Amino acid sequence: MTGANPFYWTGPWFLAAYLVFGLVVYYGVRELLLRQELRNPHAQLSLADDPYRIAFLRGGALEAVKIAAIVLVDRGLLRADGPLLETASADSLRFASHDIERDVLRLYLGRQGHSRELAVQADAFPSCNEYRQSLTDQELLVGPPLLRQREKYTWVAHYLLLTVALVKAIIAVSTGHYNLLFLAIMTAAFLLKLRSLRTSPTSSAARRLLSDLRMLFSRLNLRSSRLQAGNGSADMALLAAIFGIGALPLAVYPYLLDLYPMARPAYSGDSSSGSSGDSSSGGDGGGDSGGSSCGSGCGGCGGGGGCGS
Amino acid sequence: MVAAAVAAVAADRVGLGWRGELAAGILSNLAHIDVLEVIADDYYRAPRASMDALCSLARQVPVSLHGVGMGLASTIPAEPRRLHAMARLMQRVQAESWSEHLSFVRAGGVEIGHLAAPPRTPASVAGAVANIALASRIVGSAPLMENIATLVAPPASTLDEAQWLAQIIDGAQVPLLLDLHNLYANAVNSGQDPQAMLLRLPLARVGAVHLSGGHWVEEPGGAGRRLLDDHLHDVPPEVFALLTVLARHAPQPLTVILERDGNYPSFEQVLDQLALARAALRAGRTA
Repeated sequence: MTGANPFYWTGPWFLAAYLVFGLVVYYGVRELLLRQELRNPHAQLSLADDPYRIAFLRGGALEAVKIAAIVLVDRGLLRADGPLLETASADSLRFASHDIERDVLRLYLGRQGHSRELAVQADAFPSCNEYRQSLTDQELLVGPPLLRQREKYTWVAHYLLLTVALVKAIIAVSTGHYNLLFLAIMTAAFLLKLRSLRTSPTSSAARRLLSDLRMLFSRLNLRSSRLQAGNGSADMALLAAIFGIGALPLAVYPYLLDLYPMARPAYSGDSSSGSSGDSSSGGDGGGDSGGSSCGSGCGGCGGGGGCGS
Repeated sequence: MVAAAVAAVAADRVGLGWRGELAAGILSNLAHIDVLEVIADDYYRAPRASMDALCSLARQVPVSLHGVGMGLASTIPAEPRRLHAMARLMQRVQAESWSEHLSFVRAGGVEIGHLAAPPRTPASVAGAVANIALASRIVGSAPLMENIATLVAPPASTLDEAQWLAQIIDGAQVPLLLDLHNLYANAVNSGQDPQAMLLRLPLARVGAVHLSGGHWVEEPGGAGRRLLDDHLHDVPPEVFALLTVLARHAPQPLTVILERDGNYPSFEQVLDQLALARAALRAGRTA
């Protein structure tokens, strides 16, 4: 290292300084974008009143229609025969509660079709276009306005990093130093990281919303084996929307294996069999004890002299 | 008079204890839920993502924090560590209020793991008042203090429950979180009239109400039955009737929280219970 001008520092010293500079620039831009995107007033937990919207936000159109199909099978409006689906009757459409459900039912109305057809058709469903449009308008999915905002900051950072690297490269070459490999690698790495900030398909607000929902539903996820087939509950639809189809227990929804064989990762939210302090299985117990080691409920009486809230 | 009743009806709120198992129903029906009560102890050591989620929830619906582990109704001084944890949580979540139980949960270094009723004596009144004062100072706001249920009258008591509660609430100058099922269970278990017991309480100091359910258990030796407050059953009609009486005698706005800790029914049934609570309040206000 010689002098105050970093461009005249020797290779390792300059690389160390460039690393720090690059990290500051990258995390600065990231923080700036995060703060701006998190101010989104549309990122409300109440969006969970429509599980398909949450599924779309997390995994796109295909994820939303897959969950719609599962809900419809569970409610008996769609019949599953191995990997084949068929709308139970023309009347089924009347009992569908969301447009996306009606789109799925129409696809299999009067004929048997493979569940894979959903993958082909999902993006063309009017209901999915509506979800895409509304989520983009709400800047939860990235559309042109949000993209422009991201580009404004990331391109500045991009050119700043590139300019610094180029100036150093020119100075190095002019003084007979040609070993620029590490500088090139480091610059490329930073530019790729900046690009990932720009191209992420969901906004920071959407990612925070999904993270919040995962936290708030973690307890329900742990007890997913208690879901009951046939009641088409909001619990089931939202669990699948938030955590993915893999969160649904095969013991309760065995047709999932035939319908979506690829959708069964090792992940499983079902670990309820050994959960402690569970009082939900029946009404005859004494309830959770409500003392200092209480879990999520404050619990009722446990007998004896004391009592919970 | 009529105008006051209408205003009180408008200001009354009905909500639910937050339980993760009910998350889908709660988030899908936020329009029908005025307030949520969250168990504070679950969040004292929660990871950041979990805290962020709670903060998001609190930004969208009024949240009150409910403690279960302080053991303030005790001659043993409250642990400042727990009070500071509540203070941090209140600060972080910006909850509108916090509450605790009039119980003890530890003694002689032993955690009971249970909300236990202390002997109802002047000494436990003094201990509770001192602990509540300390808690108010550290947390920065006064807690609502909740009456607890007990299958048997605490041994060595020299005061009855109504006297004991009134002395603490008046002495500490804090609002009462009145658990009507606990009151109902204690009354029937001790052979008293629940409504008469209710009317002996400092009703002007009631800030919030808990509603829950329980079931009857046989006394040892088959001597009779006692009502166990378990939060696993629907609120019985008798408790809704007590809510109506309370609404008639307490003119201030009330926040009513429905508690359910297991044996979860469909959320439609939970909403029905909330509707019954609103109806009971309305009946009391307009009577």
